[in-house]
Amino acid sequence: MPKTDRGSTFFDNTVVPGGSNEHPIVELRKVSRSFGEVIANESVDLKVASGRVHAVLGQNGAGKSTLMNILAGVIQPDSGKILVDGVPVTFRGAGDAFEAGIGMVHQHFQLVPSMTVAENVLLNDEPRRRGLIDRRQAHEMTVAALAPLGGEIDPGTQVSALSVAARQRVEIARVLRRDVRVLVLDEPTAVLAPNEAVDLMGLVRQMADRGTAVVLISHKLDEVLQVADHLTVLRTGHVVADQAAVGLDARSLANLMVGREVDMTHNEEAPQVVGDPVMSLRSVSTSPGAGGPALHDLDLDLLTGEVHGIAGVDGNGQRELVSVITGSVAPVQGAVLWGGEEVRSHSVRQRIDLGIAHIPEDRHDQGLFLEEDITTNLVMRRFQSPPASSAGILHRRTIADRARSRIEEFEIRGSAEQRSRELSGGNQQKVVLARELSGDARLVVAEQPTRGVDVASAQFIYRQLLRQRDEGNAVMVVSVDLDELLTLADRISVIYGGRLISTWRRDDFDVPAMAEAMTGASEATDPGSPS
Amino acid sequence: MTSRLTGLIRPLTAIPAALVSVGILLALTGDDPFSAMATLADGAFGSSQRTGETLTSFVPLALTGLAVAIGFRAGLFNIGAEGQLLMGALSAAAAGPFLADVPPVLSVPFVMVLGMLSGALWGFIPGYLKAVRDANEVITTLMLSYVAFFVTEYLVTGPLKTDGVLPATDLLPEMLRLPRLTEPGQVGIPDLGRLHAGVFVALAALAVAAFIAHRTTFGLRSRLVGRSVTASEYAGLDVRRTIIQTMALSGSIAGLAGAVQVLGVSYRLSSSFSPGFGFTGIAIALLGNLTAIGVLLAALLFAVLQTGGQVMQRLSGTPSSIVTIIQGLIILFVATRISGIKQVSTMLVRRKARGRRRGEE
Repeated sequence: MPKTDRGSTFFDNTVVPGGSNEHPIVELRKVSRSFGEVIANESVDLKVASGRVHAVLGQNGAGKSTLMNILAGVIQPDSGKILVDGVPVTFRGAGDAFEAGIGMVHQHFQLVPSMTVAENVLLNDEPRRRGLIDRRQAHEMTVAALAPLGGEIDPGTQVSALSVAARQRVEIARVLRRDVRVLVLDEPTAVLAPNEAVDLMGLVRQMADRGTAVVLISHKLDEVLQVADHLTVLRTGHVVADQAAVGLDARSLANLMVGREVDMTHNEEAPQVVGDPVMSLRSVSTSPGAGGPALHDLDLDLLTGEVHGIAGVDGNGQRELVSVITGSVAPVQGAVLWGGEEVRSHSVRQRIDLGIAHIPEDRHDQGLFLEEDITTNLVMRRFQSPPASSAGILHRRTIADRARSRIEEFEIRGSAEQRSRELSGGNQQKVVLARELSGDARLVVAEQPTRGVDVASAQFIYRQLLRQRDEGNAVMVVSVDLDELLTLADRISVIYGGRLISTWRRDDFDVPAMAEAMTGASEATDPGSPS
Repeated sequence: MTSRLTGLIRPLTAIPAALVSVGILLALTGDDPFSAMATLADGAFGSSQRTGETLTSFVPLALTGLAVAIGFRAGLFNIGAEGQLLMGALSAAAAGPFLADVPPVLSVPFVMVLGMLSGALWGFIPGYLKAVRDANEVITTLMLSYVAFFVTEYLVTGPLKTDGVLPATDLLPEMLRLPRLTEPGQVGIPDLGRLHAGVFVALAALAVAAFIAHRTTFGLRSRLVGRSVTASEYAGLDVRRTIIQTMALSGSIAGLAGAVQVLGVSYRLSSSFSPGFGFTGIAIALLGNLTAIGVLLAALLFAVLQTGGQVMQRLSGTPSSIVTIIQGLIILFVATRISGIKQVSTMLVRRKARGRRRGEE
């Protein structure tokens, strides 16, 4: 078993950092691919050179994923050429591309949560001694693989116990351990907190400086502009820009992606008259449990006509907070008030009937039944009450009529009978929005509402949430993306370790203080936090 | 409706494939496959009595197939329909002697309801254990089948044993037996043999089940819980209650199968009461793509094979175990291609993932 020493691989690479366009490692020439009648890529050229961070931008459905999957050998093009080191090649599968030195880190990690870090990093390539896995060597190899990525990750830890950021490093280490010259990262920062994203971008820069070609897919324009050397922008399957990143700004990039002027501001108007609390939490504590810290003595008021942002690094009690509000977790202590009335023992269904809409973080596992049609998905949270049913009998015509009008209103591209698995990610999110935002909700709880969606879809979602606010409802947005909250929220609270550290109103947003609070640094000095 | 029918097309293609395979097998062993198949068809439909016999065996197969399908649709692998059927049969046979003087309009429905309640209890227990204790229903339903089997075995050889040598209960009073559709010797009407009014019970059960599945909130809730527990909890569905209710409903239909078989065919419970109706029901549910109409067709097919096979063995000496091979092959062909089984296997995969997630927490 050859021992892979990342460090030497980096330095053995003789390509001069900074790279050169004349000798790309991989080149796609006039690559086209369609799915049925949908053209995903048409005559796309892409040159990936070593030592460069190459960002690929585009809206959902612009053909980024298809292009990256062609690059990584997962999908074969209908026509066009793939050249590696100037030699035409055919990838019959991801394995072929991997052999050629192209590795991809997918947005959804391909790790086995119940196995250890070492087992995941070395999966299918375990060091063996007399037919058994050599644990000591495995440990050393994993440490070596993780070393260039920084951070302390114990190879013996079970992956399920790691934070998202750590899992991502494990995933990158697993890909980099093989002699990868081209590393494709599919929206790597979508799941990270601001400081983690900054760390990762630093790492990406380092890898490029050591000679690796990094292909970065991202929706976060600012971040792309900070780290990328070169940009390729796709729109409806075509390359609309392919140029050095120098001198571009976020607005011009957004316009390139969308093909028209994008309004990048959202919440400039002063909020409507802020009214009474719709929901209030008083000294709420939960028992320590699933996935994150317990809530400690948490107070929160969600007011009519206000967007309340909950900022914080993933896993600091956001999920528990949402669960207490939506009713899937009962607090062990404290009061949950709905218009002054105690509702802590109300079930999820009772809270839906009260008027609590919930846009969950995970569309695939939680927000949708992927094997069911759009009609069913539009009614899944309300079919047990009138008008969708009465006395246990479904009113199928009412359900179908409403589904049709919602599909139209929210511009969902799909028929009522179509299974939601067959929809694009953006349309899936629209189904969730159409269901949650077209009822008579008084409180809208949205978790990471724009994660993994493109600029235009994000605008649509922001408009919908602000419309809810303007109609006099309370809106709570949980996001790890502080920029998102700064554009959207009227009030931002930072959550850390299951406590709300501090709250800022729109007119005194203090970004450095928020960022500090998100790391827990200001906890001790905050007068509001219990000691 | 169209999608429900198209879902049946692929399972149906398994049937000719199975028949061809068996034909080859017969040819290899020196039999003439064409005459064997002809005898089989003749055995199932050759006379009005044989047709009646085929429809008689259709009744318990359709009901157990339906029972299994109800569970599977909700992601619940109730493979214990056999035990639930036995409990239904046991309560019918045990209650019968006490109802000799009650008018049949009351006693017959009473015994059917009793059978359903017994089956429902035998489905409720694993449902409760799954919902509350997270016990795997594959194991609990199978084990409870053994309990049911040995309980009935003990009762028919002991406390409930009739006089004489047979390990069986007393025969039901005449009044309580389901009427046959035709009596032998009637002029102008073809004699349908043992076919009894229970066939209407089976058809009604299929119709009611189809209605429940597509028109009621319970049917939708049950299907959604089978699709994804995570999404169901988000949707505010009461997952535990749904699991318990679905298992009880599934068990009650199997219990009904047992009660109807006692009321209409055997008139008693004996140790050889069931040739494995409950297990054949699993195959029927899968071949029928877990829909009521599919179960109806699949149960008919299996009834034809079983009745025809017995006649075939008597007339031509071709062993009726050929029929078992055909059934096995059909399932094999279905399993390798179609959605009914694909659904089940994706449910199994998802269940594993769910277990993993639980482990994470």
